[in-house]
Amino acid sequence: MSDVTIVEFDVDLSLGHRWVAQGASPFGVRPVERVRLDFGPLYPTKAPGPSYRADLGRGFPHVQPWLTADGRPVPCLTEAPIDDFHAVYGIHGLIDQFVAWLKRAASGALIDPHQGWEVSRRDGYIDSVLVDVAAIRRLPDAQPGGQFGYAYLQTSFAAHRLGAGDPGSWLGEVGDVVKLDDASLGGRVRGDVVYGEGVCLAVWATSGEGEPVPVFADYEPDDVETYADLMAKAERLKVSRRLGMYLDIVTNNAPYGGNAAKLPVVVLMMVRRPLPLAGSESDIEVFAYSLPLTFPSKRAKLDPRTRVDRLAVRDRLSRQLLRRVSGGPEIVTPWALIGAGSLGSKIGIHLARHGVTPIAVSDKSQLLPHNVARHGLLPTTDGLGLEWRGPKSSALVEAVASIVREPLRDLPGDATEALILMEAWADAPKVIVNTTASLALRAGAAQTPSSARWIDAELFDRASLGTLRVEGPGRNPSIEELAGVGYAAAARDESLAQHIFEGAGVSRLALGEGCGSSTMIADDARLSVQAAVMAEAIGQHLAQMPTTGLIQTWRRDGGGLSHETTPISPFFRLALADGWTLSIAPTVSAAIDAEAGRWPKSETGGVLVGRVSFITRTIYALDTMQAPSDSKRSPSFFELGVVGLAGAISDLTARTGGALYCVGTWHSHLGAANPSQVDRATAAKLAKDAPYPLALLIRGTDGFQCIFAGYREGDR
Amino acid sequence: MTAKVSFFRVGNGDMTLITLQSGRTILIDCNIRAAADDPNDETADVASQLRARLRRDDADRLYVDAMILSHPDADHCRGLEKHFHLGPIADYDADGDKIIIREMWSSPMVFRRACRSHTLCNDAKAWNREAKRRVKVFKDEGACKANERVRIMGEDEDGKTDELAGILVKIDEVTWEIDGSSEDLFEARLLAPLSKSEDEEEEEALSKNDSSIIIQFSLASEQGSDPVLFLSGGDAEVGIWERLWNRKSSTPKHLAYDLLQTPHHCSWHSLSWDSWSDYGEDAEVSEDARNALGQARSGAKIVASCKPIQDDDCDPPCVRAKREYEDILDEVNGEFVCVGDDGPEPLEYEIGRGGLTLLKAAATRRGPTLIGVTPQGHG
Repeated sequence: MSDVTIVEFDVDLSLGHRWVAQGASPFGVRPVERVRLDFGPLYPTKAPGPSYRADLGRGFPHVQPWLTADGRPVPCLTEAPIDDFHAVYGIHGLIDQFVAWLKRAASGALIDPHQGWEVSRRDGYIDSVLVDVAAIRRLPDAQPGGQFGYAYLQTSFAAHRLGAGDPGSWLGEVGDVVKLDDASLGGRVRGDVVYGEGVCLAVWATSGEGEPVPVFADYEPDDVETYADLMAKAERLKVSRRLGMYLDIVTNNAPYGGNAAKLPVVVLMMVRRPLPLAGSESDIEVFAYSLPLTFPSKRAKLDPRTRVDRLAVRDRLSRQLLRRVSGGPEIVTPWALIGAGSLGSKIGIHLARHGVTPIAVSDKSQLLPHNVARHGLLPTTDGLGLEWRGPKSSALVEAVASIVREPLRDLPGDATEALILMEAWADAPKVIVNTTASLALRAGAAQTPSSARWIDAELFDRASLGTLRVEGPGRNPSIEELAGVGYAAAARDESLAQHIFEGAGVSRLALGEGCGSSTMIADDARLSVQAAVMAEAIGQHLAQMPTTGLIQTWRRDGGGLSHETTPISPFFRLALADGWTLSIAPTVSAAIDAEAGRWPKSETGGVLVGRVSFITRTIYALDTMQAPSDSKRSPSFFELGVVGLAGAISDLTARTGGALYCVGTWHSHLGAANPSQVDRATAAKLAKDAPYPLALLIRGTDGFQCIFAGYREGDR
Repeated sequence: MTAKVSFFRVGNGDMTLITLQSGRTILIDCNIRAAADDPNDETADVASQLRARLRRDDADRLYVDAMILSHPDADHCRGLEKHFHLGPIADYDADGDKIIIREMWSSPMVFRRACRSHTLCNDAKAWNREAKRRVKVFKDEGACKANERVRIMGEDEDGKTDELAGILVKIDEVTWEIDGSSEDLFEARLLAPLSKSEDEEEEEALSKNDSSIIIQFSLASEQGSDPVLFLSGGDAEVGIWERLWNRKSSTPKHLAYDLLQTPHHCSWHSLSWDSWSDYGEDAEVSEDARNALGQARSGAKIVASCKPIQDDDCDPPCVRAKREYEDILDEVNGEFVCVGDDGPEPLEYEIGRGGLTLLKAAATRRGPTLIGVTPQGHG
């Protein structure tokens, strides 16, 4: 105290004439109040401490739970930390705040109904308890259960012992509601600390049938120090009988280990306020205390002077908490994550921190030491670090479960098998997020029986380009079709092509492999940037799936990313022979319509370019090529010429590293689209010669038809 | 908007502005002297102060929602024609930028009684003319025009106001309406003028006692709070107050106040039949008048709108009256204030939960949090 300079001064609050005449406001504030500022040795870095006369009491909101050394109440004057406030606004600002506080206290206006009920301050409490606050607050209104006015909950704790019988400081967690007989009770001592499990008793006031729920509008600070204080508070909150009774019952149980023990019991008093609490939708304020009880014992037998510790209530880590803190809407769509590699693990962790978790993670590969370069998870410092030999999916599942405190399923192994397994679950996923960049899996996606929509995340060119493909409703367009659209776009855009096709081998299989393989070189930071934006986009889609297919790209642009989102309309799918399908991109049908429109009086046509998939047995028409100059057109006949065509086709294939090639022709009929004899003859000719199936697409007044110029497997 | 009562510094005269919680305004009397309008004179420029407290309508014209002329003496209406627009609103001259009186509260009985004793000044005549014009419009068209409303305070003689029930406020009546619409947190009880008496002597007495509009205003700052009662009585002298006490002794709360404007600029004539200059300290107070003016509530304020009160023969203001008022206030821990003692800014009281608070010039204050003031890093 010797380093403290005390300054007392009087403040004229300009109260209304009636209160001046009465000598005080209805809340006890006088027209002139003497207040104090204590200037410590660290002033002005540390702001002076405000306090007011003790006999004004602490029955106001915005009062700190502690007193000055000589027992004076301390008002909470600033929303920001008082030192920060003082640094900006100085002494005058602080005094202005003090005056404002006193004036509002005088008229009982410290609680702003628009902001909500101000809970009593719990700053600086040493002991805390972790509680799923939202769940606890629902107890008084629970059907059934709310009307009983109490509940037992399982707790686990670590208490620092100061001496025999003294509970010391406490940190623990309140878990789920439990029947007293099923509760686990007991403690183990390790040095100065008692670890254990115990019981929490939550109580709240109830009313009879048809009566209004009890609401408590009197503000009071939390100043419980002893058992007598606790019971007095319980009395005011109309829970004293209940509290006493159930504390007695609790002690009937014997702790495990057999020996009698003094264990801390947490008491939660839940008080319904007239307004929702500030910053919350709930009107239930929770007071938490811990007190030592002897187990087993016929009755609690507590001395009124028994020390009771006030506990700060902290929200238990949970998925809901994370979701609330991240501010996004609750996501109810079940989804699964395929691929727990560098991209998948980072996306998984980002989403987990936002409280968005998959029902299952699947990946068939193992973690290897070099994965540390960019995996989302961190190696432990424990021993040999042998867990790095485990499945990637298991490692990610463990990490996500530890963040959100909820289990999720681990499906190491083949993705296709995992998909089949998931389909049988009651909560089968409705969205599949695929981060494997596996061509086979992407192709196989179309084969899966479920109607789950796929979101495909892929990185190219050392994470300089990231794409997210989101299937449309009804899985049209599918991710394979979307990938095709991407190739077609890249074929027309030099800069995109550089990212996607650069460094790819000529072999078709290596194309679009993206960065899923371990041979790709990409630094962790670049990967994280892409993973972060992708996680954000995926989170948005999970909250609300888009109404069309989407291709989203993020391109590295200097130090940042430039982003594009392109909606993709559904593909037109035409059934062909032999179980094959022709899938026509919307840009292709648009181009065909336009060209046909230019030739209203004769047949016209062009070349179809795209890809063929033997896995999905689909010909994807992704783009068109103009008919060469020597093509012939008449009302019933169209001949596709040759000038420059072969060169153009091979040029395209080379430019796209083999991703796009000729997959057939298209032509228009002035009448119906039924294939003519000529059409069939051409198709047969083409089929004989082609190394892969081709399509002869006909556009008529009645829509599309197609001849499948497929090669027969047996022929080769 | 905070509810306020503002007393302008107009020497021995009255000029009081009530601003309601909703922002609407009621002006009671005006005394805008030539000296006040003179920029080179030190007299408080009350016209500008008044204008600063008024709002402008959609056509950018200053207005008061209602104006009351309590008594047609010059020191209650000086400057009316110069500063306020009288006549049809269609004739409003934008260049003049005069204040529009949306609704006049006028009393024909007060005017009749005033005319018996003295000739009216030009401003009073102008007021009366305008009030009559507005009443005629009401008679002819069945309703008042906007910006040209009028309400009659107290019945006129000989049934002249019988057909004017729509715009008449009878004695003892409480009204919540201003300018055609009702006003929350506001009430006005008309206590005077008394209706025409059949007795000629009675009428003579009322005239000699400066019959005025007397109103008990009830002004609240918010729903559920105890309103501030403001009693304003123009120039009414002892005879009026005695009669009021006779009528109200069984319901003294109709005369209760948190704020009293001393009638007739703190004149002794409001409290006694004995002239101060003649009787001096032997002058006796009229008990009934004192009772009528003595229903002060706890902590009440009595405001004398007059020049500084000296211990001399002057009346108004009269030091003896001041003493009597201070006596009344002694019992309730109240306060006596003379408007002339300070200035030039008006004497203003804010109406809040705890009653009246003297308004001092507000200091600008910045917000209480740092958010939006300095960048806040998050880690």
